[in-house]
Amino acid sequence: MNIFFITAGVIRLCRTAAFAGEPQNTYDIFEFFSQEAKIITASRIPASRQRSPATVYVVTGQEIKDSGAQNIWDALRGLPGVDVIQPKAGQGEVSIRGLGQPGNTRTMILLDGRKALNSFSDYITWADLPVTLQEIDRIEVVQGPASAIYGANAINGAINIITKTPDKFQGGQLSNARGERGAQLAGFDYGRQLDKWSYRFGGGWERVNSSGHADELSARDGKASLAAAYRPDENSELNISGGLTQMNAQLSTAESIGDFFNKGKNGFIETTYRNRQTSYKAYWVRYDIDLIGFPALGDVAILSDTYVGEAWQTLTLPFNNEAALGASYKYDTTRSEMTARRVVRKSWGATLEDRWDISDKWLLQAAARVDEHPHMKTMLSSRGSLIFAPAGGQSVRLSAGTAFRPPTLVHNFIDTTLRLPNPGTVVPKPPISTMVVKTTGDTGLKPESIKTAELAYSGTLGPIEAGLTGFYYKIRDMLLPGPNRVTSISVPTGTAYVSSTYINGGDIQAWGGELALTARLAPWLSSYANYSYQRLKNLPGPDIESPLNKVNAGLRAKSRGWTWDIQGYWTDITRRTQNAHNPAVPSDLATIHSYVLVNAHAGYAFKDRLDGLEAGVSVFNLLNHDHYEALPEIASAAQGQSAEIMRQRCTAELSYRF
Amino acid sequence: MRLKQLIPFLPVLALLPLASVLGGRETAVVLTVASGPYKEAFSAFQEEFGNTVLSYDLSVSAAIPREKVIVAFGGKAATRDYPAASLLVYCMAPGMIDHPARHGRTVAVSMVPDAGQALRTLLRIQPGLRRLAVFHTSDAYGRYLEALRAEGKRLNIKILPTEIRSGEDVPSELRRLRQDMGAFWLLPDPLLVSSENFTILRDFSRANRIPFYAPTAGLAQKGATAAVYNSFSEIGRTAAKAAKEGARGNSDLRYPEKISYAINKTECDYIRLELTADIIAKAEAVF
Repeated sequence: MNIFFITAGVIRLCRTAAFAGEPQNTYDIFEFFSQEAKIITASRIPASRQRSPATVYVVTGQEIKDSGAQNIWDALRGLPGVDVIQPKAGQGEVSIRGLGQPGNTRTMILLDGRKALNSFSDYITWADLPVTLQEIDRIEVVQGPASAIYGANAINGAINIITKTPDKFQGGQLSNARGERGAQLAGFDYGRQLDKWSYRFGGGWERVNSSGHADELSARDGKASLAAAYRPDENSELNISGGLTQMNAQLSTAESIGDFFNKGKNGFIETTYRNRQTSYKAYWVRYDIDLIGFPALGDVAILSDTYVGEAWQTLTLPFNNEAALGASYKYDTTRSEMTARRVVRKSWGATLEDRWDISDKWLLQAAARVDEHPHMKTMLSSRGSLIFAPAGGQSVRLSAGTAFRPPTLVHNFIDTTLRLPNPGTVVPKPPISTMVVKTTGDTGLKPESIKTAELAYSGTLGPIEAGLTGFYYKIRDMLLPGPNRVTSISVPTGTAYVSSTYINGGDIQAWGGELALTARLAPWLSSYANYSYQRLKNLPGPDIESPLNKVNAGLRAKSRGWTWDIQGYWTDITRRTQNAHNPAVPSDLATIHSYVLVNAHAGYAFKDRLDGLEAGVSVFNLLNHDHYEALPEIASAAQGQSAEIMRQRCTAELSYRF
Repeated sequence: MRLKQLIPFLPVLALLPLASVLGGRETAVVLTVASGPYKEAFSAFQEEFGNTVLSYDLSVSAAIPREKVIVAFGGKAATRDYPAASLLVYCMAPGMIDHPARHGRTVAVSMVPDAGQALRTLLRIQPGLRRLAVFHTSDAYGRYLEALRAEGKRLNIKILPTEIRSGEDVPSELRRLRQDMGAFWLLPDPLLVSSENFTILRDFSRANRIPFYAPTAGLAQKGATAAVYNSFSEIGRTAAKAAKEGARGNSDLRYPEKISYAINKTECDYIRLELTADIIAKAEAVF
């Protein structure tokens, strides 16, 4: 290898010597700037995708704005391998490579690197995240197991929403959008960069009514956030930030409990400090929510506080190795009527990651993490990637990894009693008219674990960037609701008593792939298309079989102040076992029909005296193709996931930057 | 904890002995392309550096050197995945005034001159300058503009940072600023410097008799009133010094010590910008 380099160098030195005789300044200076302009576009993504240890997709804040997306999950619909479903107008669910369903907690969601899943059930209400669309700098989607970096829950991947740092603001922005079915979206941001300080504050108000019943509230949120950064010199930086959301969103997560409103507050305070290659982060997250309107349970209050401390150190090592060491400690407390007592959990994790530049064409990256959680054994997660990147912008990557998902507080500690009408399928009716179902948690549950292998190619073919990925994974010890047992029957009162808990049941296997193409057809015109395939085998219990085939495509034009964007998504039929949670009715296999969703946006940025003013129109479901993205309600005793029908919604937007 | 979960690490362990063979050498140079301004800067680098260095031309090779010091000429060269253990010195990358996202020590040699020096030079060319519009597109110039503002305050020059979002905005921005600016300066922002924009700026300067300052001598030759800049040679020499000295801190931004200016006498006469004999005599180039 050394001989090659020296020879190549000598040849190039000879070339340089030959160049030296040329007259100076015969070049076109515009060519130089044109060459450099290309690099700016290519280097917007900090890490080279070619040399990334996993499949990573990035959606920038500008792309979100250009697409006219009115929420975060709509901004992610076009990514290959990402399943987005919208059970309700104000409820979105995002998962990666299968098992997409309301309440899926197998994808780690981060907000600026901070875990955004609630500590009660590891569920995320996307609409309630303390971030507005205009604050988002970019969203990074990492596919495949990522517990080796992020810890628990990153079974099928991680989604990191990264907000704009205060130093990216110099001035303010006001925005307002109004649409059909009560849609309102207003936001403001203001930031300044001073000598060594920069600060930003902002907020927003969002509301959307039900798609099926236009006068009924689906979700309503008020958000506020602030951030300040202090950079005394090039090597160090102190950041302090905080955010708060006041929310009221109608959700449907599991079919047995039907619809309810998630009402309350969630907020955080975070501080980070970086000095050269060392960084520290500490944050506090509070969820103070009431789950209102459970058909069978009444209202439930949940109050949780999570305190996390993290430290990271990057190191440069001999033989072209670069390493990162990290450690984290988490303390969280949760109080709820759904658990018999206040639950305190302490956990810690330690990560080691190494990247080795073996040669100019070969790269090896490996990471391992140890996690200690209460009520389960010590978990080791790992990920290794071997990357071959020959000349010409091509690369081939082989990755393997493991990850895990621990039982949630609900799995471990739930203690509820539901009173349901007896449909007569488990015990005869009459004489039994009522079923009392007692669900208790189990602290002896094992975590779900996944093993994955992935082979990926990425390359540039003229104006087209292409990516092809194939994957296989196996999940063991799936966390599932256990069978319902009739413990006693009281004929005089017409009541049957049923007990239920959670179990580790069954393994599943999945394989599939994604083909992604993006092309810049002209300086003002870009497009993308992708196809995803995924097949699951041995699916036990109530989990959903993700659509076998999905196709996304989009076209975006920007010229003379105008932005035109149209994106289409076709989703194959999806089947899932219905009512497996619900002891009151027998389970069956239900189908969510395939659907086509087309979203479009047109915007114009004014100039001259109206500079800073932008106006636009967005249409969700342009073709007005009424469809369900999750199971609809069947009957009052068998709510299904009570998804509502998705109908067209037009929104007009106005924003002003000053 | 299962031993099987360590399997992904086995290739690392197996390949570690091989790594000892791949030891680093001292310095390598990577050129985006071995011609034009890159070559001019590289020639000056070689003169200043003295020792023979290995060089790679990215237009013919995709090699990523692993020497202890890597000097990159141009943005394409600067954004390669070099080993974190290497010191990266990069220059001739005007779109990357801030450092590229990488671990490891990095020195950036600025293409735009030090703010104070630049304003003092402009004042020498145009002593009555009080309001200067500065055109840019990149967010990357945010800190530089702050430095310009601070220096401007000291020198009694009001800086009017003017962000151009696309080339189509240039005429409207010029119209907006016509009554408000005493001169305008085009930063070496690759997204803004194009022949189309340049023609608009030059024609506006002529029509309104407002001096147009450019970021390179080549643009003064093409019709800008004057240029205030770091020459490619000076940038190459500064990169050589940085490669010898190493980084001051983990990431380091350096301005070449010597600032240059070029005058387009014909344009100055046309817009009636009077120049002293001393200014003309000390110019790097007069067209």
